[in-house]
Amino acid sequence: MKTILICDDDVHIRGLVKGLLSKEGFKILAADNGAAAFELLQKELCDLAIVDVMMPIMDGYHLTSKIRKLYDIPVILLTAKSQIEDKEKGFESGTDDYLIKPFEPKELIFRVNALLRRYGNSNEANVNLGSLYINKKSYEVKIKNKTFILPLKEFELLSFLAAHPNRVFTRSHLIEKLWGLEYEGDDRTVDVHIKRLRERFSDIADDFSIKTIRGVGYSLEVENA
Amino acid sequence: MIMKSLYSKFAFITIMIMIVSGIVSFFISNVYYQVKLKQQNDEKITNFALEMAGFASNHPSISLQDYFGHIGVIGYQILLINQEGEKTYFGSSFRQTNLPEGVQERVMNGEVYHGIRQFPHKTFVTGFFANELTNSIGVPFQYQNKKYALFIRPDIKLLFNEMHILFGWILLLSILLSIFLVLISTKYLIEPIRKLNMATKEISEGNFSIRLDIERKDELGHLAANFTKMSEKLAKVDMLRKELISNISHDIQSPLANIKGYLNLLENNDKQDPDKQQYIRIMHSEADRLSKMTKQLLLLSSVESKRDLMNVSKVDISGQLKSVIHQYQWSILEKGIMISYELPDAWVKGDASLLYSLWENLLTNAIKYNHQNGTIDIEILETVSDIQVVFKDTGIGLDEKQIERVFDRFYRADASRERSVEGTGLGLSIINSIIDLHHGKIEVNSQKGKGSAFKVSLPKL
Repeated sequence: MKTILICDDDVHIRGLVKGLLSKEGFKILAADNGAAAFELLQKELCDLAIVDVMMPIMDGYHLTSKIRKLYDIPVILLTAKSQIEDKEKGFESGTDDYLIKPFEPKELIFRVNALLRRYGNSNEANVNLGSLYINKKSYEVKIKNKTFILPLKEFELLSFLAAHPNRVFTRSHLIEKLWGLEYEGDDRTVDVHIKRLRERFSDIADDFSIKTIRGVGYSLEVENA
Repeated sequence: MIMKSLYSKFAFITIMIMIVSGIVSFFISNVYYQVKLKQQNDEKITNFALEMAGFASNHPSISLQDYFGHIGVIGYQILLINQEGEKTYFGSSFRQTNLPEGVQERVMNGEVYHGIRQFPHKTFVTGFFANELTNSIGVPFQYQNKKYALFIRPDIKLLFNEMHILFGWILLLSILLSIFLVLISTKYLIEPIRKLNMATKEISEGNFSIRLDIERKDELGHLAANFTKMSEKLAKVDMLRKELISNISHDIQSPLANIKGYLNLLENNDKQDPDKQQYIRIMHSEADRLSKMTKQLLLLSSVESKRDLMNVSKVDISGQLKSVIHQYQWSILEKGIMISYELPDAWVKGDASLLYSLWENLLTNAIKYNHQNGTIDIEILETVSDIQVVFKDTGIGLDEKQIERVFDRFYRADASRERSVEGTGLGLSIINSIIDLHHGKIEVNSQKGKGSAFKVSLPKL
């Protein structure tokens, strides 16, 4: 179980983040100022810290730079300060991400997961296929000089197919692999995502295409690279 | 002559004062000479002449030629006329040798001629230096029982030649030197004003951290010291203003974050009651609206107040765009939108925080008006004179009439009320103001139902 440290002087925000992330299966540690958070970090192993900027005793910038010096964990600054100067100050102190209040609860979960993935020691290799380059940590697709950020499932589908070029996968195999066993939708979902991927890349990339193998499933084919 | 600078005015006026006072003082001293000194000079020389004439008549054994020749050498111009009217000159010659009518006869008959006293008044001529026979003293005397008329005047040129040159040099040098020194001292006097002027300009451009190297104890020194104090105060006020904006947004956004977060928990806990769900959704969207409205109003007020106070520096457009994309990545992906971008390094001169807000507004518009599962493409292009940033979306698009009116002030004001359900309606006016401030322009290319492309052009560095 991953442990997340939340540090905010607002008791309601602490409660909110705790509620949201506990549901996602994280263990939560909470502190109401930078100094207390730092003490907690020394006692317990944390995988990620969510830090508010305006706090008594030790503010968020200070705490972030201290964490940056001593621990190799990602930090998200959670703040209501949206001026670019504040943002720059945040990144200068070494934060990995910056989330502005009021935030969507789902966005917080999305960013937490993205950072844990980036810091996690996943040994998934990046995919390099002709002009197509897929970075699995940053979830970015690059073709020539252009960068594409795809919706999560489309990205996973593309990178899965691209990791096994010219191999044919059935719809149910893809569902099981990417959506999980407990997914209750039908096979059509795969068709919809494939259709979108084709639409998005048909004009852009000419050295790969997703082929429909009638009666079987899909395959990403590389055209004489 | 048009004198634009204080320096040339000051120098000109000082030199004019010198010239005018020179003329006036010459005039006054000339009057003094005419009224008082001429009289004294006349008496003095009359005495000399009478003395000489007396000596000559009392010593008949002395040759007149020798006697007057001798005096002539010492420094007098002399004319001796005998009974027969023969004229003999001694000493250096007169420039003009004619005498007024009848003077010769009257002197011969025993009158004294006061030529110096009677020398005519002229405004710019003292008469002191006039080397004329008219300007002399004539006295009669008898020598060896013959009548003579003796005219003399001091040989000013001989006696005062060196003095003349000396005074000439003093006058010339003092005129030249004072003009020269006036030019220099004026420069010194005006310099702090020039510096203050530059500093004022800096402040008007929003740079409050000025240092004036004016170290003087006079009024200008005080002015400079007060000016520095003032600029420090202004800097403090500017900082407080920025802090206030930042704090206001903090104090409003934090509670909103809580409201939204707990509403969300409430929504997930109670899925059975559709009415309740509906109310929660409304509260959710109202909290969103309040939050956006606060942000944009603060931004708009800072755009307005920045009209003359931009914080101009070199801005990394490509870096800003990447960070904006990162910030909105979640809202983009949430709507199933794919975003693609090609952002080569590009720098422009501008206000970093305003430009950031510009990209933010363009991107949120592109998300807001896009279809589910649409596409957004951002590109930086470079032309000869401009950096162009293009935001292309596959959204609802605008028809030609809407494009025409989308940047129309009146239309915008109206549309903000219409659109209030979806956004604050301030977005476009913010975009337009920021681009205006940066001397850029924006073009819209759109097709109803297919999407729009907004192209922002900003002047290159």
